[in-house]
Amino acid sequence: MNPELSHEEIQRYSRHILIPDVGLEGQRKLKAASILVIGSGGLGSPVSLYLAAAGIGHLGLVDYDRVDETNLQRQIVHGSSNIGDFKVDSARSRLTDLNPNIQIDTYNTPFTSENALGIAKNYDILIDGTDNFPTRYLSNDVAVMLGIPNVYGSIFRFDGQASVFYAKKGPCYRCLFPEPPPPGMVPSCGVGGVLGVLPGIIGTIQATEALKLVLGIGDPLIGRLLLFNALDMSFDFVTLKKNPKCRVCGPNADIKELIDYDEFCGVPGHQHEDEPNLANGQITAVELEKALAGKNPPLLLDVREPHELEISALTGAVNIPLGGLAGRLAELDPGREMVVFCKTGIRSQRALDLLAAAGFKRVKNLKGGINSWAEDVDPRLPVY
Amino acid sequence: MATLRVPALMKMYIGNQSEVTLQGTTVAETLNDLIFRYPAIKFHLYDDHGELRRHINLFVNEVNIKDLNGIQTPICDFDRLILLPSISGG
Repeated sequence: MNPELSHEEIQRYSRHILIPDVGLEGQRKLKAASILVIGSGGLGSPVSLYLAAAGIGHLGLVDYDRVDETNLQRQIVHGSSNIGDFKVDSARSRLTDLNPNIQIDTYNTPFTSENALGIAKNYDILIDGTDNFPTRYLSNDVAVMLGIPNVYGSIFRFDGQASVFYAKKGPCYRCLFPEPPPPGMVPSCGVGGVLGVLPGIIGTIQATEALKLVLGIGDPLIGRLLLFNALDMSFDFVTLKKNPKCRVCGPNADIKELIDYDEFCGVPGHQHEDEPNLANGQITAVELEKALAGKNPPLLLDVREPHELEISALTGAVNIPLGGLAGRLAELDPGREMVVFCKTGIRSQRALDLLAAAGFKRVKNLKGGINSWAEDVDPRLPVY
Repeated sequence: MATLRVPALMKMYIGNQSEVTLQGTTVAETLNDLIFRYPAIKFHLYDDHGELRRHINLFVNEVNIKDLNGIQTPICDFDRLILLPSISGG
């Protein structure tokens, strides 16, 4: 039995109830539904706003991050007054204001192999609004193991993808992408950028699919993937089939419990853009300034994208974007001392790892990236 | 001549275009034509063993070549190919 609606709820949701495909019974289904939104960022913002407004009775929000200024260009559930707040607290405040009739549970923690099943078991549907490969594979595997749909969305610059991965009725994320890309080959939005409205479009499609699943109406994106391009304003669809060799949902699946997703993807799932993974071979901006003034200055290797050089650059640096570095190693002299840098030190750490694996032994990573150089050495450069 | 749609992630390697017209009677020949004209994209398509990278999918007229005949899938004039890598942004 779905819960009854109060008179106030009937008034609030009247535009839904007027649709014959929804009606009173449909609105009761929405009230009875539980949906977990993984990530309260670009995708999670429109998803959670529209699901709350639509009257989903129980929403869960998972995120461990805090709101910062660079989020506000697209993460519309948060506001300027929330900078520094935990995202789940900021989102809950906004969603409660939007719809005080619903239950919102927040999980102010990374979504990990240790806690994911325990959190997700309380929900009917997962929404993948994450921003990294380890958590995407984790969300998929959790959904497969719990037998619930995983409403998928992903974005990069002007491109978006959306689908419903539901192993009971069609393929899962691993059927399409059995393995993640090599570390560093596919940049995140924090590195490559994203048009602010793009998560609005893809997130709204995810919310639409979730509502259709709850209502049991329409033709969900199960077995289909939507490819959106904002520049061409094109919507392409491709057909997806179950992969009989899928390691998590295939007939001979060998992944029966959650694995170490950071290891599987070769990158940490939960790392702030501004907190590089410090390792050996670091050099600070002040130390680099001294080294550059010395007799044998190191070669500067800038692994950022070419358009980032217009924001800030170091004189004499060679630019090879991280994504193309593995294919251009022959352009570099393994015998020469080298300092590799990017915006904050994360991409350059990956470049350093790649160079070290290729036999380059005299390489250091500029700690904090060119932003650190701008803060500590040359304030004429902007921090971005 | 078939057309290949290239995602934002990779268009920098093909002269900043999102679509390119290619020659070939199979997927393999079509990709060879792509690489011949834009060598920088090869590393992003193929791994060290010469296999299509596992995070890359290629669709011919909306069907995954994994569900057809792989890179030996025949290509006809006016076929539409879509290159689909995984992306992680959210």
